[in-house]
Amino acid sequence: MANRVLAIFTTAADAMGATEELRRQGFASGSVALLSSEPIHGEIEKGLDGKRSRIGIFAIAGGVIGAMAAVGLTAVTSRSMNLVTGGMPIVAPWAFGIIVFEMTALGAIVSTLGRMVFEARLFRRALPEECDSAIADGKAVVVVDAGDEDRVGAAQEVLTRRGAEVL
Amino acid sequence: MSETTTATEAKQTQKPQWGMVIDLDRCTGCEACVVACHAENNIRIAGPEESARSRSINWIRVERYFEGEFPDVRVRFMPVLCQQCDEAPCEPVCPVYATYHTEEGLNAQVYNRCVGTRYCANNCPYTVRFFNFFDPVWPDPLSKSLNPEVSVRTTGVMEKCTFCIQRIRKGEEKAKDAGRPVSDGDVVPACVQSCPTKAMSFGNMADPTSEVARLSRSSRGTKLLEDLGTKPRVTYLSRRDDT
Amino acid sequence: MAPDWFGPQTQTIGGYGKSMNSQELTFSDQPSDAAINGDLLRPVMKTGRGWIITVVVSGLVFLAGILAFAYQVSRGIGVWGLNRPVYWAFDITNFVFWIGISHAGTLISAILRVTGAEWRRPVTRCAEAITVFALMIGAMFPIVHLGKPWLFYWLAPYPNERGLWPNYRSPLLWDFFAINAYLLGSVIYLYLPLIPDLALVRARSRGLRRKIYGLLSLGWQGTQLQWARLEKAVQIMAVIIIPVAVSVHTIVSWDFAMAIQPMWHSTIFGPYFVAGAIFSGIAALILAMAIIRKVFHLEEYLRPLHFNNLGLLLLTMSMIWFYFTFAEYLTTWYGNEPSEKAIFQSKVSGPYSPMFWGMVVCCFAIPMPILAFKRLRTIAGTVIASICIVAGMWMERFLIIVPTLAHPRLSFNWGSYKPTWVEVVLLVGTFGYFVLLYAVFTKLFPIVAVWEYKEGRGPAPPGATQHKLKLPKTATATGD
Repeated sequence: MANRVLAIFTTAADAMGATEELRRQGFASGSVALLSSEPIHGEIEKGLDGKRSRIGIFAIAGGVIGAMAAVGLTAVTSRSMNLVTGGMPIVAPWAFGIIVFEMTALGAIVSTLGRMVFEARLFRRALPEECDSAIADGKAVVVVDAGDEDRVGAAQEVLTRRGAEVL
Repeated sequence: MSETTTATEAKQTQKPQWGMVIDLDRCTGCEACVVACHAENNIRIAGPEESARSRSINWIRVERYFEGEFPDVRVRFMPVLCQQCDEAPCEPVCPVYATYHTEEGLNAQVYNRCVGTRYCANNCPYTVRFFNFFDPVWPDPLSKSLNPEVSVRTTGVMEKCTFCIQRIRKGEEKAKDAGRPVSDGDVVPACVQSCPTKAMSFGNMADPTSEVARLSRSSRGTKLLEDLGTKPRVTYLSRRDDT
Repeated sequence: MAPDWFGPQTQTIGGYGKSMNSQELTFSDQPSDAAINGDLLRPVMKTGRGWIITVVVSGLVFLAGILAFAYQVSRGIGVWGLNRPVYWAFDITNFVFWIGISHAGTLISAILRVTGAEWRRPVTRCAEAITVFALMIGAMFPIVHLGKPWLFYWLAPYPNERGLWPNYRSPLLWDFFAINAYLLGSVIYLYLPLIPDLALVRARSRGLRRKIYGLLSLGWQGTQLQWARLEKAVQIMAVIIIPVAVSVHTIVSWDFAMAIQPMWHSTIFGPYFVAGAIFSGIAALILAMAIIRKVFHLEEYLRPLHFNNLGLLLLTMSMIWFYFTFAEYLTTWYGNEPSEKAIFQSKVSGPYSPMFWGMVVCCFAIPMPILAFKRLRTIAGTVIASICIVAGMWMERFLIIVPTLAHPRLSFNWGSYKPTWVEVVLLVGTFGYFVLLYAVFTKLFPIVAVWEYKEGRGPAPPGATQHKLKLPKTATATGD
């Protein structure tokens, strides 16, 4: 998007001040992002507007799906094989339960990963090289997705006033 | 239809339940059964080196125990073969269904399904399962005496006594062709056939008139390691001077 | 100044020592972040001669193992020392041993993360890497030990025209599912916290390397949303992976416990093996950490405190292991059941007794005093204890498997076992493989989780239990 403003701050505290002000100036929470090389917990609380993650729910759902798949796999296929082993029943719940447990865990694991990749919006467009290096050096980068041209100017003004190097 | 015909029909449709009785009072420990089994079932030759490494294969073997101190020494011996347990511990542990229980009560071993995990052998309390550590070798002229009705097992595969399933199939076919149910004498495994003292009998336990059904009801009848709950199909009749 | 145990001992550490108020977080001390990046990325960015030698030597050892396996496949399992009745020996010992080693990563990483113990930060990736590689190696053995290894895929439920299907009642099938679930889970659990560090390497790379790491890092930018989601996912994964890890070694132990053989058919095997796995896993972790600390000059990051804490955990596990072992053997001896007694005697006073008592010495008699006394619980001390424990636990697995198999119920069939060179080379080859995998890992990825370490510098994040353990005056911060 053309109206993206990038600014490099030397310290995370400065960057946090800037994002505060940007939000106060009316920029939506979702359009202001603070990029850093480690999680900044103060910013996480404020910046995400209390948007709750659904990863946990997806993990549970994945587990349930895994369990059902395992029950189907073991019970249905053992019935169709129909071979007696050691006098055990054709469908042996205790034994099959182990497989069900493992596939529950597997389902939960896979859906956790999938949902996380989705919610974290990975696979988006790359940052310019300077930003990447800056973050690696421990600096903080603020990215503002301004809606239109005029807002770009406002964002740049706030960021420069706060001591950033605007790109 | 008369009642006897219905009963005959019932016996015809009901699958035979194979069982064996070994009379330890008659057994002399001569090991003719061992040799006959080798010949009938294409059991590979281990050779002196491999035998010394405890890898020789004997689907039936005569176990021998010495009891007591001289001069009160007693020798006990008994032929031990696969007991074809009704609740065989070897069957559920095979990951590929290479061993399972047939409808005729046999513990089947499917060679071309076996991948060789050897778990079944580790779970057998009678130690009756044997593994092919190498490809089989029969020094000439033994290679010319292989039984064409029995497959030759390659390396990596478990094997054990099958109650001479090839003879069981033949006997069943013969009976079917004759239009009657299987009866005593139709199926004689190699070990039973070769026993000089007629210590071993084999037949259909579900047929109350068969010899094995009769003998297994004897008061001398015991089963090996019965307390393990494996429900073996082989009944041993203890020596008369044991009682 | 008082030794602080987190971060390089410079005056200019961002945030630490100043106010704990998060508003005063400063990352303005460039040397600090750059110093950390420099230290922790150096193994990735620069290749030393020692690394090349390590890779070549371990590669050759691994190759020897492969050749031994190829020989075995061409000739048959007969080239091993197995016989009737000892149908499992080195093969399954190695299997259980390596799966056991893999339990370190999960415990350290997941449990310490879930309980908010801050000292885990420099240690987690080291541990998670051990899990993945030890699992990979352990998972090879169910294939290697087969009479027909080329048919291993028959254990998988795949649609086919041959009437093949796996038997879910078999503990080996439980193994198949458990190990695969654990392997996938561990790889993901290793990968997730690795993403930001992959982005870090990407930022420091050029050209093709930058592209590859860019792909691997999934375009990680470092927005707070991404951090929040990543930490949430890692937390959830930690909670899932703990029961999976417990179940994996329990299921491996059930390969024995489900059998009706004397001294195998014991209900204690599940907990016994899990405790033993954690035990040997922590020992392996200590060894790996000590080596990495030395060769990559990470003395500031992997400190005596970490070895001290791991040593305390190791001590706990040693006592638990001893408790389980004692309970098992006392029960056998007291019960006096003949077929069990035969096996018991062969271990305690018979042909297996040197190994048995060696195991007790290695797993308990030597480590316990070293780990119990603070004065001895140094880095060197924990390393000595760990070497003994790793050796002792291998022997323990061997002693569970072979004496039972050598003494079946019908005593006419008792036997014995001696390994051949093929089995020994295979075992040694796995160690070579492990070192090789680990060395390659340290070259591709930072072995200390950089962002987690940096996160730990400042005030503790919400949910952490503050473990800013100050070293007592008597102990020095330098260790060895």
